[in-house]
Amino acid sequence: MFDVNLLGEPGIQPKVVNTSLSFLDETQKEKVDTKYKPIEKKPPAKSRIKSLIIIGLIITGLTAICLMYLLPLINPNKSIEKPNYNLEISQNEIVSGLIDLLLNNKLNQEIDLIEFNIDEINIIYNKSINQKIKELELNDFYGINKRAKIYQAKKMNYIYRIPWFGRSNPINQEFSNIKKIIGERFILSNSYDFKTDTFSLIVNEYKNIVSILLRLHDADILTNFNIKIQSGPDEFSTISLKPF
Amino acid sequence: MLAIAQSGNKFHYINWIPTINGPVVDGYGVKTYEQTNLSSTQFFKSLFNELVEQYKIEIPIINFSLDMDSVHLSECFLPENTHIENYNSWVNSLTYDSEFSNRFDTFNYPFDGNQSKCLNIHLPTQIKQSIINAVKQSQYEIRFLSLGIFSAETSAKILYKSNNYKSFLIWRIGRFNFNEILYIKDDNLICYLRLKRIKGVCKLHNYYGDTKATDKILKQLEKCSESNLEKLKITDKIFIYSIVENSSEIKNIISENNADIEHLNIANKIKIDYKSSSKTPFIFAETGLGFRGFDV
Repeated sequence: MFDVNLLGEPGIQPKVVNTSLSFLDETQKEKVDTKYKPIEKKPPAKSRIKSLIIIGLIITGLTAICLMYLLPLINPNKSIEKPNYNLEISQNEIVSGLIDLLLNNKLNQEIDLIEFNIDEINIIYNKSINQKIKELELNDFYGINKRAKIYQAKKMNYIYRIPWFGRSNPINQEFSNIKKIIGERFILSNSYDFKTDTFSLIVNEYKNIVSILLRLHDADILTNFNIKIQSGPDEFSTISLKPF
Repeated sequence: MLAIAQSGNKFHYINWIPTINGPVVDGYGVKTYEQTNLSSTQFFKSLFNELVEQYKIEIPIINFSLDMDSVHLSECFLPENTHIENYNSWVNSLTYDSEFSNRFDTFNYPFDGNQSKCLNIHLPTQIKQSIINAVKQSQYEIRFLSLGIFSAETSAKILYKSNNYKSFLIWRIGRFNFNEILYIKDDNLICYLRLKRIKGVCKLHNYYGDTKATDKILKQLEKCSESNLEKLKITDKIFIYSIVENSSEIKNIISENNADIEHLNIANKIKIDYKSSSKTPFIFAETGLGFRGFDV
């Protein structure tokens, strides 16, 4: 129907009368042009709707392919997932599971580094674990596996991450005492780096790591340090302890 | 964008801001005057300035709707093959005094093609001049100057997409049971009725346009009860509104009838800044003309 706009000229009126009268100053007029200019959205043409639907479907398909196939290739083990801290687990259970894992002959060969951090234990495997990764995933290890996450770092190695609760206890940080607890018969040499406040021990055999860990745990020392257990030099192993 | 709609001595207004997510109403209400002087530039200037200052409107763009009672209406035949201006001058010279054309601007709106008739709106030049002078002196902009129920029709077109219906009525419920109805079919005005309706009984005051359609509307209305309009089936849709807040008549009609009757309510269609009140506000339907030209 016609618009009644009495600003137009009298007489027979057309359907649309767009007459308006502006007495705005120049600066206001400029603002009108950018801000208040009527913009009538026209409905997209049918062909445009069709092409938009097709493009939408293609994008959805490609996204699905990326999610299903490409993303696992880039990052097969969901690297950003953290270990599950919501499931209750005691330090004893964690240590038991860790010992179980270290005693597993198939899975302990490829370990490069065991690291006790303040919030998680990282067991870093070299890439040869690749063939045994399923086994690592399916094992129970006293229930720690359902709380752990496996992360592949840049296709080089795998990090088996277990929740951990480290805490600093200054009373229990005497290195001479630690040496005694570990048992001097295991220790080939020891050193202390003042710069980094790190106590390093070279132990005779990697297989003794299990008993060393048990002794440190019994003495309530395991939670007290950032500990790194590494194979080498040669057939020996190195344990370094640094207070948090 | 400021829209003001006159209804007697009340001036309903709405101020809205265009945003990316559509228009947002940041002010609405009504200013009531004991006396109005539509021939006074000062009156309009004071009305406009008050609102512009109240809402700190940076770029004052005004859309204004006058009350139907501020103008005179008539209808005339549209002769074929005759120059309409000469014909109008001749009709006016027969009907009115010699000074009529100096005192009124006459706007002719053709009814639908079958009627060969047009609705004439005679706007007092002094009112138009006062509005324009007020806008000019205040350095504002006026985009639209419309009239009562025709402004509501613009609202329905913009906010309710009334053009999607083959035919529809715009029904205005005024004071003292005074009603106005516009009948639009195929995007053409068929007729305009002014009537009193008391307890379901209609008394026609005047009508413009198609006589048969007017008769049909009145006959169907007479069959309807006060609030049940199920027998009013002349159109696909009825847009109804009232000039008063919390109109019991509107409430009863809406509650009793089906989806063919729509309450023309801006508050249901536009995002409103509910800073001052938690209840659904009353925004006069005729202020919806302020959204003209925008896709809302």
